[in-house]
Amino acid sequence: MKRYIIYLGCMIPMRFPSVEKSARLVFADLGAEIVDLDGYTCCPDPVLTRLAEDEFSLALSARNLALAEKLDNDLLVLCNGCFETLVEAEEMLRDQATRARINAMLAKDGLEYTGKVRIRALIDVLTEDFRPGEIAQKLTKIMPVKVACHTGCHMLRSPQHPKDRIKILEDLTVATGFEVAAYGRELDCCGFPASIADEAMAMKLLITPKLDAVKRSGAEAITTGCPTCLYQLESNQVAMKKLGSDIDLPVFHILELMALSFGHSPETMGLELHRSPAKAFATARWGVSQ
Amino acid sequence: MKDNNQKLLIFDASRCTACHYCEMACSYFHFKVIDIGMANLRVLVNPDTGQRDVAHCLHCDNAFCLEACPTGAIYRDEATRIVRINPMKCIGCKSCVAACPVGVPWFHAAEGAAKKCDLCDGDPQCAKYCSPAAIRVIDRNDYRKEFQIIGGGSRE
Repeated sequence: MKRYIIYLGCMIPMRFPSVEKSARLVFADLGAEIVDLDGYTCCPDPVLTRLAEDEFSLALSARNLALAEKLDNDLLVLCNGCFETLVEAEEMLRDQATRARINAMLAKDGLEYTGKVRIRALIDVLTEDFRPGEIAQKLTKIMPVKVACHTGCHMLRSPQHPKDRIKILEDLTVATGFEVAAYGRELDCCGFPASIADEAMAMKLLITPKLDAVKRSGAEAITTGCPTCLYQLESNQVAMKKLGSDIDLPVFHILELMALSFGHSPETMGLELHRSPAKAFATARWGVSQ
Repeated sequence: MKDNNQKLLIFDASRCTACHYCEMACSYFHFKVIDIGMANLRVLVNPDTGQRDVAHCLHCDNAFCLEACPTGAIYRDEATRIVRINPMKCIGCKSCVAACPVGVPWFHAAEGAAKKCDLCDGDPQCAKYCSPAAIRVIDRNDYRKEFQIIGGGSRE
């Protein structure tokens, strides 16, 4: 039986418990066991925290990785930012002097990082460890929905070209029974970091053109593998509506779309916590399961 | 004299998501603020076409900013070939701002001095925090080879 240690990060338990629930439902359906990482902390943020305090940031990441090592399975990361942070920490901790310095800090907590945990992104796990047939077998409620995919910047920290990384989410969306809407701005950032620095600029140069392109493509929904992008794409639609925009597209985490297609009821997934019309859309399309 | 080991930034638009993290990292490293208006490089995005580019310093061999500086505030660090500004010598005339064909130097009004890329003393933060590796640090030798692939032409 496949077994993964789940790393939820902050945004999912705090803001999108529906994604956590979907993860548990989807992996159970696929016959994989999910193990919780007790005592984990923020990853932390891959850019801002590291900029402000590199050593503290690395120690937090190393602590999370050391906790995962004790459980002896692959670490399944459900958030793009967490994935990049942990992968970069792993790279930095390959330096023996750095590792010794950080381990001296972890020793106070009875922990040690040795470098044996394998950090894996959700989309990689779903495409590398499960054959398309295994996912297809579980599709009990296929809905012909046209979906625009947004992969997200932090998922692109990889030897693969960004265009190939983007294709992974698109292929997964197709494997889950959907039609992918090509909108031409797949690579564009959701605008979350730029909003921290300059909200108006982010909306004008990034988010509005991206969502306009999605709308023009005929997509009925948006999917992403990143909870922060999900938050950003939803909350900016709310802001844009106040400025007169008529864009009102439901945004789903890919795990939520998978759970729906696997036959789970939109009524019990917690979709009402979305700021986009995700629940209304899911209920209209998938209905209430028996 | 050209130094083939000189470190340079190279930008690949096909990898850029226009997230602006490079500018944020730059402004934080140099001024301890997250302010993309205070970055020493600029992400340029055309909202209509989605086309993007990054205006970054090339630390040119014949640097226009250095030549234009009337006080010698702009100088080349001979060990690293980095073109730098000495703020104590800068009189704020903005000649470098006008001279640079890429538009890299900018005037910091509060300090009364011009600012430009200094490659973060050898560890450029823009490249370090670029998730898709659209900005990378390479040496001049590799720059020539890669520019032909990315830029479609030769800079020889």
